[in-house]
Amino acid sequence: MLAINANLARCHVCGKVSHLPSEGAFACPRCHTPLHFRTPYSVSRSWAYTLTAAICFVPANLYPIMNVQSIDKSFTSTIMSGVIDLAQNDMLPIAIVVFVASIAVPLFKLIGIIVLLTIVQRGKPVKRQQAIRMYRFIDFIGRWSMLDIFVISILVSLVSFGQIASIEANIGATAFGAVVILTLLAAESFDPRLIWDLQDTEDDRTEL
Amino acid sequence: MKQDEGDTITACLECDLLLARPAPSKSREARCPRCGSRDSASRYFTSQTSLAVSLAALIVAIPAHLYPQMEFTLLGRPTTYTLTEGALALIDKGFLWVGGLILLSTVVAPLLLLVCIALISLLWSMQQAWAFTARLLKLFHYITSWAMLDVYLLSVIVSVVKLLDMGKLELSTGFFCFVAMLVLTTAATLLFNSEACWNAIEKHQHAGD
Repeated sequence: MLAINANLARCHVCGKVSHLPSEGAFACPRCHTPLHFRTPYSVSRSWAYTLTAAICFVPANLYPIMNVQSIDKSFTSTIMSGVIDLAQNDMLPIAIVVFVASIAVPLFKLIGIIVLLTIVQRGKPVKRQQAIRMYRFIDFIGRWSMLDIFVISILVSLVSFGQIASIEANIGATAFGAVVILTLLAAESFDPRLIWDLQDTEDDRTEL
Repeated sequence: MKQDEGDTITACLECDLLLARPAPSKSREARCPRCGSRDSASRYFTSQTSLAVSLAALIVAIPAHLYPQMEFTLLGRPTTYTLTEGALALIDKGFLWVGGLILLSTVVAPLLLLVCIALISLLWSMQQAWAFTARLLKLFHYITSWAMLDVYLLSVIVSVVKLLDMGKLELSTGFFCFVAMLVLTTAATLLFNSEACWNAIEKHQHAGD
């Protein structure tokens, strides 16, 4: 039996299960957070964050994230050119790590959340185990995109030799930071219980 | 102080299935039979262990923040890097949002997290200041996903590799203290069970009625 069918709701802050006659009627008796059966406006909020992130994804990849200046050369570096640079300098493993964290993960997250949101909105039967696995994966990998942001901050403060060599942040970094935060918020707004509220394509014998 | 059992029922956070509350177990977290998600609320929690580990983490946090993590030498001129410097350098150069974000996820959130765990465990063993504990628990709930020390460790490694062919780079004391802090912070987070603390608060509320 589901908690919602018994008019019970688990508080998302303190975890207490309380009786809730109707949606949003009470606050949790233990920690006074408003109680809900499902995260309110989960789908719309998640869509809003995802679309904003998708828009920021464009400048994040097109604009440079760093300006590198040294005696003999000076150039700007985008996320992708940083990866190519690493790969050409025989540092393939690190290049792969940076590529996965900075390009593959944000892109996969955006697509994944859009797929999950579409699944929930269509309301047709799905393979729930598969969908929930995707949700958990998205939830788990999200924070690793912060990698490039941290790298920029380390490089900027470490390589500051004035005329000889210096690295400075550029506008792409802000856009990329926005993508990371917005996809994190999108995943956090998405309520996984919505997946389990759908019918399963296969007859689910663990259904209680 | 032993862990309180609390209510007899719980609901799965991922699929909303009503379940009997699992007994706290030292070995494994309980899993939902329907969707297979783990429930961290079934963790075995003792305030002494939690307090010890979080205090240890706070102690190594001091050198981790004060000592330089890396020294980079180019043409005989060295620069050093401490944990907070990167974020502050970005804020200094006008990248307020990015700098603030880095400061939040590498300095503010992890330290607040540790202070929360240490204070909650301390107040639990003293059986005092329940209302304040409730506030700390809420703060813990909202801050916990913003601490990203593990990601930061990987980015230090990537930066080291990027700079290796430019000049001479050395990792120093601050970095090793930082790794110790990361390990202890992870341990403190995994050993902490906020729901057990909420149960204790509730029990106290009822005792006061």
